Amino acid sequence: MSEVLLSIENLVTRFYTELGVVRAVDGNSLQLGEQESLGVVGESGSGKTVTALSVMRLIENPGRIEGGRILFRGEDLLRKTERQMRAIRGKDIAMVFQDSLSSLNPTLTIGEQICRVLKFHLGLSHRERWQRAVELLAQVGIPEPERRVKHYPHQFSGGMRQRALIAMAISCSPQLLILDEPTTALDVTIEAQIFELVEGLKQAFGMGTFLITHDLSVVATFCDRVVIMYAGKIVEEAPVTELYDRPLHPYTRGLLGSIPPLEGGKDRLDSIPGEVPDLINLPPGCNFSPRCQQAGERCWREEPPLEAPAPGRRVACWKAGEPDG
Amino acid sequence: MGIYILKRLILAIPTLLVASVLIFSLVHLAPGGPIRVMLGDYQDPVLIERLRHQLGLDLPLYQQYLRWVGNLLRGDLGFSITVHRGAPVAQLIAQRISVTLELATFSMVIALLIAIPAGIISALRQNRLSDHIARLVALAGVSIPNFFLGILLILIFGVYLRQPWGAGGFVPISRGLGKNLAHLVLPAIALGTAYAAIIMRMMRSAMLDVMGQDYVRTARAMGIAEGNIVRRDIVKNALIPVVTVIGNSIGYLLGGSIVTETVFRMPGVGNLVINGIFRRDFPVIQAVVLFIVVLRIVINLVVDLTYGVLDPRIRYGAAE
Ligand SMILES: Nc1ncnc2c1ncn2[C@@H]1O[C@H](COP(=O)(O)OP(=O)(O)O)[C@@H](O)[C@H]1O
Ligand code: SF4
Ligand SMILES: [Mg+2]
Repeated sequence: MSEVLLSIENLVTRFYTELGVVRAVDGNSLQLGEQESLGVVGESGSGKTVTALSVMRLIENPGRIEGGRILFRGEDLLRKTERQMRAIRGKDIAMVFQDSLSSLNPTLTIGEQICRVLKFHLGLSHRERWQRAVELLAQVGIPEPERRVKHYPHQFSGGMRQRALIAMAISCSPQLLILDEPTTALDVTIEAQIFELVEGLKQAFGMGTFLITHDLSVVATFCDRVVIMYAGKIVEEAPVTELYDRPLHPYTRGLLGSIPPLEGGKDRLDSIPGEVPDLINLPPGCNFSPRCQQAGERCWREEPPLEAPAPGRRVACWKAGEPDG
Repeated sequence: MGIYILKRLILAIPTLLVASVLIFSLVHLAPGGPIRVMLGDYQDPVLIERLRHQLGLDLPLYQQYLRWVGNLLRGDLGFSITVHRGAPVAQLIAQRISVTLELATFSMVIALLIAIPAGIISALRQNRLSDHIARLVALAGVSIPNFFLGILLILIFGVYLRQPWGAGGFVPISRGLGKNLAHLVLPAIALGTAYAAIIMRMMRSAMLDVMGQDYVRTARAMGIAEGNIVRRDIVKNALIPVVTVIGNSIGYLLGGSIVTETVFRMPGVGNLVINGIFRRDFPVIQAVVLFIVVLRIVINLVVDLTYGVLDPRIRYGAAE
């Protein structure tokens, strides 16, 4: 790994709901190097978005970041004032959200939404901002950008809207781009185009990317390294190729088993039976034990620690690497 | 745009037809008639017959209806038969409409100037003291009937405090804007309080709804300053549903002005129709009520056009 861009250390983020305390992120650590692509994978509700929002310091009531450090270029974001964070958001760290339609203001044109980001971070004159907005739209592959810049989000197709959102995110050349399931609402061909675009931008801008997805096949083509999350905890981490060749955690193996063949649609073929546990009432021992086919006596009693069996690899399982039982 | 307006106007024709039939039947099927009122103690059967014939009240109902509509189409609203005997109804309305419109407009302006900011602040300070107070006041506002509030205000300002502007009545603008507005303040409060309360609640809940939208989070994630987010993301989008409510409840203001004008003894259209009802002045009631229906249709059209200005999704079609 080159220079460390982002280092999350023992992050704890909880939501204090009426039903109880949701342990959304439960003491996780991970690192992302400059210009590196990290994939964060896990089923819905495993704490991926909350991890990203914690980095952005956008956790809202009833949520609280309760512990840990988030070092961005060596500085702890958790110690920044709200004002300092505002200068970082959108400028040094940008985030692209899941649903492009609901993520854009329906009553402002695409141009207005990009220009106001430029205004807040770079100043620039009115004319320069609009010119830059047009360039950005062209850069993300939107045809007729001079005309499109004056359009409203609902006048764009889903794929074009996601491109516009990406244009907004890269408008101030961030060093870290967080993508939270950027293609879930799109069909497979458009999805491929979006990732091709992001890959190109990553090279051009030299950004580190933090890609959240529940789809391991996406990670294979786009990421250098993968972190697998389950029920608020990191359960495995590995360089992409190693993860595919030799997954150590039974949950990862389950996820790999559910990758659809290339020609197929997005439907799960062989998903893991059972459900993600309730993050308010976690099971004793290993969080995955109720669904794990290899679970044994010890798994129900004691929680497996996250250990490093080899350089660059981490796994939290008492029976890591043992063949399926 | 022009075509849209034209379409809406054509669509209004069936509405007007149904409204005219309803108004006509209600007026004519209700017990009691203008003749009794006109003759007072002197109820002579021969005279009654002659008057009925003179006024066309002896014709079959459908003929009377067709005659009325025919006259309307020629721009003739008819003549008053009891309230101001012989006076053209159009003229009666024209003399009074300014009072009603001024009252409705004034109370709406005051109401909006209070309700919109109150709704915004209440939502931004959700569950804090100012929010609780605003919501409590709004609850009281919708619960008090406007005639009761009107009487209460007259009691306090007119009877106890003996303010010249506190006892009702209307001063035309020609005798000074200050006096004119001073006399309007209490009726406007009586009429506008419930309206303001509804708008304030609506604005508050629309704000809270928008504050939870993804695009607000996007704006925060882009480092946009909070004030800018409140203005361009939250308030702007929250206003869209509120404008519809504002428009739809203009009908409430017009309806409410009938009662308010009576309580405050103001010579408006509402007062005219109340007198018309008491004295069975068929042409007056019919024409005024139909006039209010037309006014509502026009206002609704204007509101819909405003909606298009605020919401680009209505102004422009879907994805290309
Ligand atoms: N605002 C919130 N209030 C309460 N619980 C929340 C909130 N946001 C997220 N959570 C909980 O945190 C957990 C992790 O959510 P999230 O990070 O969104 O999962 P995902 O991996 O699908 O992105 C979930 O159990 C979710 O219910
Ligand atoms: S620790 Fe036990 S239950 Fe948990 S994943 Fe490993 S084998 Fe399964
Ligand atoms: Mg998520």
